[in-house]
Amino acid sequence: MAPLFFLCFFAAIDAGLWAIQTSAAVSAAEQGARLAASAAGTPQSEDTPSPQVLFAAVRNQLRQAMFGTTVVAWCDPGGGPCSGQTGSGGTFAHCPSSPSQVEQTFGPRTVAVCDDTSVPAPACPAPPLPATPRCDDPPTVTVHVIGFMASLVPPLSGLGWHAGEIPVDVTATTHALRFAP
Amino acid sequence: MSRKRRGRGEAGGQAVIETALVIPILLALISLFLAVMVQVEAQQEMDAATKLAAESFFQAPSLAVDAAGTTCCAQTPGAVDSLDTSGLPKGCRFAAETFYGTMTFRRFLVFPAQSGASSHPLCARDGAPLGAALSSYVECDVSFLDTALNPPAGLRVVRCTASASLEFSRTPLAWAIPWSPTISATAEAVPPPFRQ
Repeated sequence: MAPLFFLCFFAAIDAGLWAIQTSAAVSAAEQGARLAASAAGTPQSEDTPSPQVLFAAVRNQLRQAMFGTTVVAWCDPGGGPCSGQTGSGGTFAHCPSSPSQVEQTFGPRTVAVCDDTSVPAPACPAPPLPATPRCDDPPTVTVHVIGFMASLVPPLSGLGWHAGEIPVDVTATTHALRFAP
Repeated sequence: MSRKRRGRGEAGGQAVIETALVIPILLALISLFLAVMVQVEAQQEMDAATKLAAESFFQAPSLAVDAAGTTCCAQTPGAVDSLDTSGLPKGCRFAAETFYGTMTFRRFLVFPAQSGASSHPLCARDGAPLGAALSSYVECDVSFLDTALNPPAGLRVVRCTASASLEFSRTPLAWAIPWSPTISATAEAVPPPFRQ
């Protein structure tokens, strides 16, 4: 009886903690998407803010809510480039596809912040030719908050939970903002 | 002696009955906690997706219209696009792409458009649906008059709404959660002054 009582007790605490952590992850991804969609440098710039700028903007928000979890930018820990930057390759060429990839790279109980920008659409053909689908579209930006958060859960393979950590994979997508010249 | 044995036996029997009564209640409570976690996450995601969708409407040029043959919004990566946005304002597609890209579609999350019973237009103006995208998970009124803003005349804004029911019957929690709560989100975006 006692183990069941404690299981229930810790489940209640964990559900509360998890709600706070997930809420922070979702709002960080949302805030990151807004920032990543804005032009860097000048209003007409085609560049998006660098992953370090993006990470710095959401880092505090995530660290305050994620108890016992390390928050990192998806960049080469050896000081190399981040995803989407010139020179990035291998593991860091794109955002991680699963929370396990973050764990393999940065260790347990780590959440990574990352952004992927799509290739801009081709220009529309000059009139009188008809416009082609998606021509002149700005690129889309997707921000990921992905990894494993510290938790009190026992290992449950069916749900992808590991002992003491629970996966999180939140994305937010939007179009890059561009202003008329 | 026999009385003592009988007493112990009665106490043991009582403990078994108590345990048999309490265990299902505790397991039901744990299932309830898990269901709350699932609902909270889905609600937060829907709020964020709807808000970003309304804002992204204005990331398209104001007069741009989608060319013939434009489609968008696969429900899962690699699936066929589910919406034909030909002739719609480009902002409508931007809103849909943002919503579909931000929301995580799980099998227990059922949107009204999936039933196919009624029309769920991606974009509408003054209540009239625009274009042929009529089975969208997010619905945006591109000229909604919000009288709370700039009273008394009001201000025309983009208002996006989404809703879905959480079908716990499609999860292992079905035994403890027989009901299907509905989550919904509404967001408005005001036209930015420097729109291209």
